[in-house]
Amino acid sequence: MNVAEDQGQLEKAKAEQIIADTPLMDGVENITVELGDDQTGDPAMWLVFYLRHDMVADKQWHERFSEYSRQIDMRIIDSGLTRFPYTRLRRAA
Amino acid sequence: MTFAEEMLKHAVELLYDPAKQPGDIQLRRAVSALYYALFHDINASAARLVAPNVSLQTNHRIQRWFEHAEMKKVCWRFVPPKLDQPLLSLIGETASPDLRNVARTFIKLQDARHSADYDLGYNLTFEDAGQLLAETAIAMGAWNSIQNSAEANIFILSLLMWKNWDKER
Repeated sequence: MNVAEDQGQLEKAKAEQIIADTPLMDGVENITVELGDDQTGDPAMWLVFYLRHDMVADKQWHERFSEYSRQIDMRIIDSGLTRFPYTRLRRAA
Repeated sequence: MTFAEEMLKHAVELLYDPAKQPGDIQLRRAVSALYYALFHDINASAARLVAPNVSLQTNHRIQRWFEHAEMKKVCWRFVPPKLDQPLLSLIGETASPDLRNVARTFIKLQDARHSADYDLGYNLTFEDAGQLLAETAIAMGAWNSIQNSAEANIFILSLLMWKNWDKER
């Protein structure tokens, strides 16, 4: 593992700890962190939110989720991590 | 209704058409429209700031000065909790929560737009698109509330002429 990969894994672990310290919002079953590069080639991370399979994601839920994910994003950014946290939403199996 | 608001409305209509559920094409077009809603919202403010007295035609030419990749880089400079130079001396220790949110949302939308338009393997879900719609609406509201502030002026000038901040004059 090279220095960049080590740094990436450290950032991933830190992000996972921040997520673990944040209560899950209703409808969210689990959150994982994936590393990669974004469309401009910059190192990034994807927070993948797994939603309960029967949950209805209507406009009101999305508005509440926006605030929830914003808080997680800002905690990650404020902790000094250098990878931008992108969001993905998936249905849990 | 502004062009940016029209783009936002277009995305809403694509996602929440009561007659049918959106398919992959509608989701991708909606995400692309959302990016351009925020992009043009910011650029319209910029043109008003730098050239308030020009014709509409010239205003539109000015709005084409913006470069997507450069905008993303500059947005990333406004997101951290403690700003680096030159922003530290220009607007203080940190940008406002509203401006940080606008910059953060712009970065997210640009990446999603690129994937939606070019990456055929992009697994875009309705929930992803709905989330981006909610975030875009919030960011445009935030931008509306701060667009005439000093920090927004610095943000706009940075989007256009970032390299100039580094020049000693």
